[in-house]
Amino acid sequence: MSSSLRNLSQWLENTSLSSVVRDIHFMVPLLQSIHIFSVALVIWAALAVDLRVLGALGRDQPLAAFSQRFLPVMWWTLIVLLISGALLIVGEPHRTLQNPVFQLKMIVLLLGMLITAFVQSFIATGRLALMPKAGDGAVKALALLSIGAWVIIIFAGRWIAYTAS
Amino acid sequence: MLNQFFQQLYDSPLGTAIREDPAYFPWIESFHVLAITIVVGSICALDLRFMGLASRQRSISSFGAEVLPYTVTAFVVAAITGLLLFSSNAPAYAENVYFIAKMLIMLVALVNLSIFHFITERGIGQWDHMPKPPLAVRAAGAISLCCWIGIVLTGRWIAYTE
Repeated sequence: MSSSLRNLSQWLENTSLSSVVRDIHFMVPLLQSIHIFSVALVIWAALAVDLRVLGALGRDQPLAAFSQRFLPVMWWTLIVLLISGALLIVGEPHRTLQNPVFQLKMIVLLLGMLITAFVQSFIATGRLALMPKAGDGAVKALALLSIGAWVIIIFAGRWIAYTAS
Repeated sequence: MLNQFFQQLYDSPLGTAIREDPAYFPWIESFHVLAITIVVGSICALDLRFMGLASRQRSISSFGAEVLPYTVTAFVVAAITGLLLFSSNAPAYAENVYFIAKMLIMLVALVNLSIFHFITERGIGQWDHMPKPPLAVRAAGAISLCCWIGIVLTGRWIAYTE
């Protein structure tokens, strides 16, 4: 596992895309800024829907109508987030792929997206659509898990810079 | 006089502790980034509504009322953690061009918000439910959106100087 990750890092580092990211001096902070800005939009959209499910936001709007306002923005911005993140990995593959905090972040990101897609499908089936105040217990638990996942993702993202790979 | 204050911050037990302990800075920074994502995400969602680009069916007043408690709470956390990070190296940050730019852009955002709150918002009865509000409202949203993009950019660039 670790040796194939090393090989992958080495291969990525030798690509011309990697040297473009590395050699243009403003590229890394620019990509990081785009990444953080898209993280902000994605997280707020996910949090807003989670908070709505928990009954802590927009209780006067039906759940389906509420999430319809946020989830399209979330999935589109997620694409920008993933592309900017992928370019940052290509630019500095050793510092990221082999970093345990980065690996944790990727696992939690995958879980976070799965949970969000799950909550969204609950809402889309209409089972929760007309709930006036909040979702039922199981969906509320998922919403809490989703909030926890996003907090871990943010913290792990910052700690990649402080952890040796 | 301001320089003296920055030096006092630097020398304070708090500033010294954050500077010298290897874990304090990244922990405070993590909370700072978390708070900023909530501030920026929620404000930009509202800005897009002002611009008539999102949540068009939702009235501006109810959108604002549901979002602002979270925005304000997160902003307080961002300001406190930001001040703590600043105290660890106050004199250097105070001279950092990106830090100064970030503070100036926040000032522009505040002026924009004040103009909206004290002047434009008086007419809210006429455009509260409009999918595409009048130009003054859309402009307030666009200026705010640009400011917050600038705040993220300059904030990230602070780490790439010195």
